[in-house]
Amino acid sequence: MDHQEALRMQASERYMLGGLSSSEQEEFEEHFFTCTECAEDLRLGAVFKANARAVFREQSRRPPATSPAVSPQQGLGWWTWLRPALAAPLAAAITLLCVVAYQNSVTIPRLENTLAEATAPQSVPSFALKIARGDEPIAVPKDAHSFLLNFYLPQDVVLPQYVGEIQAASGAKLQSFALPHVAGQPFAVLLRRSDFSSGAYVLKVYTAQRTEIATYRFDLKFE
Amino acid sequence: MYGDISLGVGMEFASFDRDYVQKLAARDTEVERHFTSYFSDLLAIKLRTKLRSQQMADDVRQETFLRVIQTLRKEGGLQHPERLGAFVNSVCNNVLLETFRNLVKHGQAPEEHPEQADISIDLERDVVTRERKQAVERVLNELPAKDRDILRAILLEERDKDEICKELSVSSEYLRVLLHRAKARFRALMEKAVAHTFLPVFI
Repeated sequence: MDHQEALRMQASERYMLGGLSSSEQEEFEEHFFTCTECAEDLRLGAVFKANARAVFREQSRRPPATSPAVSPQQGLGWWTWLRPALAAPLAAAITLLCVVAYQNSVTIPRLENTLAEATAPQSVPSFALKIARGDEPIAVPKDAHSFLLNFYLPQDVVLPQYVGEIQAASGAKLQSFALPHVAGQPFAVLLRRSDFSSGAYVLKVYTAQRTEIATYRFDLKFE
Repeated sequence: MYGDISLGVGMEFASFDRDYVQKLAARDTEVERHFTSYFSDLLAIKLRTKLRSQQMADDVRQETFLRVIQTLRKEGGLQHPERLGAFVNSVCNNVLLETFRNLVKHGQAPEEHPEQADISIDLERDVVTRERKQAVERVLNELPAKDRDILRAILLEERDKDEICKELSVSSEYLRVLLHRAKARFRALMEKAVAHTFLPVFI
């Protein structure tokens, strides 16, 4: 399939709609991997579709238009608010006001303080892991809430991302995470002190296909 | 192309020639980044039609990249550098075939249900922005209600197109033209947004 053929048969739209036969699909896929125009059109289609789905979902969630307000009845006094039909919503509104007042005066200031502490600039101890026979000793200072492990792979980095796994000495998997590669930088893993206790651990690195690339052993000690 | 500014999908054009392939094999950072960016989207679009599982699609994508790079770094490597794109597609097909064989071998049905594909791929999450949604909303508002319903059925509900055609008494050609025009209008709006963003200020 060449570009003119792809245009003539509206291959991009038919591909999006699932309207190509298996052989046409194969031919078009081979084509758009080599044709920048068709590739671009498919990307545009994917972006349009993703955003259209988001718009449609949001429109579905919007409440329907409200009916016109009921005209107020005449000749009602202040005791009208104590009628059951109005008393319940009034009580709910008052309760809500109390909750909002409490949140504004107590809860939110507390949360703001916690957030300020958490987001304030802080130094994180960093430890380099190496592939060695024994466990790498790592002493985490007592005031460190987190610590960083960094390492280089023993072979050339060929993938944009790997998978890392922290295991206990017993082999039990504790944490699993993506390891994106940044050119010129070692891989780095930020760990929370509260997730670990002192002891021996293993960090393993895999490809997405679970091919083991490297193993690093370290011995955590919390001061 | 459209640049990274508004659509964020326009890839800087690069000629897949011998120089490009040699730089890729030699671990040139810029070329590597372009290569993975360029083909990641295309692989995701292709795999979405064949796999239901995002994890599996990611695995196939990663394995495809790994094998392509490994081949390029071998003596002899890729005989026709200008066919790099076709080679990536071909490797992806092989990895897919192996994936399906493994599934069948382990007693699972192959995951090839294009009509039921409903994976929340990274592509979707990464490309939804307020600006684009506004443009889409404008496109949709310019359409008659019936056409909006058709696009909703196609894009959100992902219903079978033949079913839509039968229910709404439209032809397949009508669906294709509607989709084509909606995309074209979306593209025009985004290009206009880019032009306005970069209007020079004359003092």
